[in-house]
Amino acid sequence: MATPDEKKIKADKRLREIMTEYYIEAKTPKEQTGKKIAWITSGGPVEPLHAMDVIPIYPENYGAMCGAAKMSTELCEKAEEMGYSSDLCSYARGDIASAAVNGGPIGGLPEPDMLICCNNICGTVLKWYQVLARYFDVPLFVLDTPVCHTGYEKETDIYVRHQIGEYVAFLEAVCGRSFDYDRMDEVGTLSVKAQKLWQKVLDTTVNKPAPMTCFDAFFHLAMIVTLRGTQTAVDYYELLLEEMNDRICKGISKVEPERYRLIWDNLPVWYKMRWFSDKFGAHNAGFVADTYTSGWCGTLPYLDENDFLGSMAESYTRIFLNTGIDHMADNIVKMVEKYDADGVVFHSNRSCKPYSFGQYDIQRIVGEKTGTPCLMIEADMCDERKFSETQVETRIDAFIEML
Amino acid sequence: MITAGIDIGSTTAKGAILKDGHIEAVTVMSTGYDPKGAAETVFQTLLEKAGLDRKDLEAVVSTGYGRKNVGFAGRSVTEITCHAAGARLLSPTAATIVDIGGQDSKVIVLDSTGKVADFTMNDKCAAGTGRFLEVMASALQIDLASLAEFSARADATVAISSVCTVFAESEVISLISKGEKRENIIAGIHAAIGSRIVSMAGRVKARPPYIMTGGVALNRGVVRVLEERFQSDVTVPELAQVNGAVGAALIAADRNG
Amino acid sequence: MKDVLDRFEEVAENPQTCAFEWKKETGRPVVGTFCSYAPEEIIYAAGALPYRMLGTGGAKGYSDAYLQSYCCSVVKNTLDDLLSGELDFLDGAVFPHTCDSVQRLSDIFRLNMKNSFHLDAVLPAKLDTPSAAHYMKSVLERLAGDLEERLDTRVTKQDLTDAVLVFNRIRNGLRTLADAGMDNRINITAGELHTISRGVTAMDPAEAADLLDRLCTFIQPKAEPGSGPSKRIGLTGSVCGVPSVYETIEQAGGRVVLDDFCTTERYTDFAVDESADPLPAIAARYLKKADCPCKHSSLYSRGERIVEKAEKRGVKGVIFLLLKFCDPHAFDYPYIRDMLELKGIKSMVFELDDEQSVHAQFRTRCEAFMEML
Repeated sequence: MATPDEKKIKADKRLREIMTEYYIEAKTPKEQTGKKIAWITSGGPVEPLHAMDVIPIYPENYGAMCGAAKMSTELCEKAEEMGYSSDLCSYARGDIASAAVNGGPIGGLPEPDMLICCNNICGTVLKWYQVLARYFDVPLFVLDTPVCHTGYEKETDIYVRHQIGEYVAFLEAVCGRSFDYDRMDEVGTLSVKAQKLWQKVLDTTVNKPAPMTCFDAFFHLAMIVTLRGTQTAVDYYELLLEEMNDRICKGISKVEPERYRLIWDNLPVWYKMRWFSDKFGAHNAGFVADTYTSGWCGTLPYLDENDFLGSMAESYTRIFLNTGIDHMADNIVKMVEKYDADGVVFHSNRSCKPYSFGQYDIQRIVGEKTGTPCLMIEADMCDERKFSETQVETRIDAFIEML
Repeated sequence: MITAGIDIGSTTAKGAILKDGHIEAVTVMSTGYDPKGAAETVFQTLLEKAGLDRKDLEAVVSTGYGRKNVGFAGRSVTEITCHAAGARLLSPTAATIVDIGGQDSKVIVLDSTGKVADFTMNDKCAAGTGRFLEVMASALQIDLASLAEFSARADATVAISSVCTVFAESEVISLISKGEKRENIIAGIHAAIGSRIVSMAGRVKARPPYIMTGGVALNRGVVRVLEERFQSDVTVPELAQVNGAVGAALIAADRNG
Repeated sequence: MKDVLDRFEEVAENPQTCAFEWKKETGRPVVGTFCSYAPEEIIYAAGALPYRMLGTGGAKGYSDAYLQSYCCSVVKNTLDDLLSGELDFLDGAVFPHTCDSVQRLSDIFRLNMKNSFHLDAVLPAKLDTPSAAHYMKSVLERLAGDLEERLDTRVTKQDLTDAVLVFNRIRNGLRTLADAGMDNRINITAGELHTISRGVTAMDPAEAADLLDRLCTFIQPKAEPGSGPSKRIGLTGSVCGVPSVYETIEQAGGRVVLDDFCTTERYTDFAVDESADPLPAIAARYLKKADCPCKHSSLYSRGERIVEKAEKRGVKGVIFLLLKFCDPHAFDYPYIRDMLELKGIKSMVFELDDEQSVHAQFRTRCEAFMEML
């Protein structure tokens, strides 16, 4: 048995340092950094921002921070006071309120100079960024990526490619200088490198026992979301991968002994991460993979390292959330096989309709194709008021008894 | 001029008789299952208390959830408008009325002349209403009326995170089984109601001075929570329960005056 | 006039039966659509009856095994209609991209429909750029081609032109009637207009156009005097299947003079250019018609349009009827409320749990709102 100290992932410390530096730079007055700030959706094309030396800020990442710090519910209530329905996405509610009252663990995000919204993850971000654009009165660029229900159509490619050009022109106009295509090539290469490394990190859990769980992945994800396209992200994931391989050699895992290997679907329940981890851990069940964190490297097959900008259209449009639910089900079926999983836990997330609606069909397909037991848990990623601990606890216990 | 206001709420039926802007008689009773009968009884009681006869009254206005069931009333006006009118007499400086009744809760904002400037009501969900307190009191197996007393003895507030009444009930039950003190759980229940009301109040830009009416106004624990959240005094007028009925009687006089 | 209104009511109340009877009589296919962005002209040009799915059968519980409780009733009830077999008469369904919930409803339909085809017409979410306009046209061209294949037919330019003329007549007729009704130039209530607009969604378009033309002959040149002391009210939201909403507002002393639902104003707005090449002209209409909150044109377009119409029609108060779990409308509500307030127009928001029924509290709120105005 590994000691609690051995179980801890050492790279955590480095990640915290990097994220702190990142937020400190972002919160430094613009006169000192000379950099512009863009708020961007989590599925949005960040690489051109790095190429233009713009600091990307992710309200969704901040939403997760607020959730983990159990500060979201209060912000959500504030948004409800402003007139936003309590049924709206808790990231959006939290962020809209945080902008108005400078809330959350770092006292609000630095004000944006521009907003970049890509609707490949949902239609909610479009409404959310419209609210932000009215509030901050700054330019908004919308990258419209039509849903690929059954495939990627020719007209979709033409449309999104055209918009990538419009995006570059938008950045040139807001930044007041021409786009640096050479720098873009470098950023593109670094982005692909980081995505490949991230995939390798996630692949380490194929090992039995898995050197980490998805709760670790949710944490280490921060870098691939915010800093992909930078050397920092590449260096960090090299470090993390090395540590994972080292853990495999030493046979260190989070859950000991690892009796059940599970897969998580949907976003985490940020304010209950520890609770879930402990709850399943007590039954010797560990989450060895999830559909969420792999979303940031799932479109590698469509990316062309030598023509990053040109291949962005397809890779950003074909992310898993922007496909049909049968495709999403196949993704889970493959994961069950790849990670040799014993069960799948679906988080039915009241805040995320495109991720959650269709889960019943997905559950059926996964059940039919793999025979794996599935569990559905209803919660919300940030709004604690939508969570019933006793109900969920009973379901988890019953599910484990089934395995 | 003599007028009457009859307020048929979901839990209690209230009445008031006014003579030239002065309160002659008020009464409160349980509505039961017969709003029509309750209206009739309230009316009789009022007349007896005031020593008047039906024909002495020049106008009667009904209000409340059962306002359409009051056959003898000349017309009906919603409790929102009546509460505003009642406050003009009972609490002339009030800018915001928080009314928490058995089935619904309302926040009414008044303009400088005491008329309704904006209002909001709870959605279908019962959180933030008297019903929510009733369910919780029964889960805790204590009398509804003693909730305030219990919460006054709390040394901490246990967070009740669920907003849905059914979820919150199971949360309370599990808190009991974890051995949390009832006093502290009740403080948490009051805080949960407070959050709902504050959120509603924000939507209509509520401002002080605040007054509180409706059955839940009798619960000091809830009033205290609201005072903390609003960072302002919340006054419960002496005649808070009959505020709507008084307003209805005033409106009855106004139409004829 | 009564026989025309009766016919619309008959279809509005039994849309499925009426569409099925049409199919039996004509031997032509029926294609289900969702949302006011479904290009009906193209479906009709392909020889089919475009049937708008609005979940009219109400909640039946089947959809609970496919969609969670936090899904809006329009989406859930429509799926209920499919799963209960009530939509078995459909030869196919066309889903234009609308919101997150409809996106998944489309997938669930595709996986669960029996013996009928399913098509996605993934229209752009952005409407304000040349590339989006070009894409819109391409998607419609693809749809026309897909329909030709599925329905084994040819869609000619003439077919499209003919379809455009019919739908222009329908939308123009509905608009003319609405304007006349609101000015008291015809004895038609907002509730009746709502019923007519529901009837149009499941009726042979040629019949609908003829009936609307007939109704328009009853319009008087001048307004009838004495509309009473009622307060002029605007209504906005996604869709509303409850005629009693109009009655309740009228009984509370209001009069609906602005009806901005997806089946009314947002459906009738903007005619297709009849002189232009039909397919690009159809595409142009869907870019320019009164927009839905699922779309992105300008940041204030919806608010500006509602304020402008409200002012033009002397609206005293606007009621936002928000369907529970309808995110796009819920996101737009606060800014439109604020824009109205700046113009001195009061508003009230009411959350509809089910677009097929209204909670009892609505009456109290409406009355209090009228008392406040």
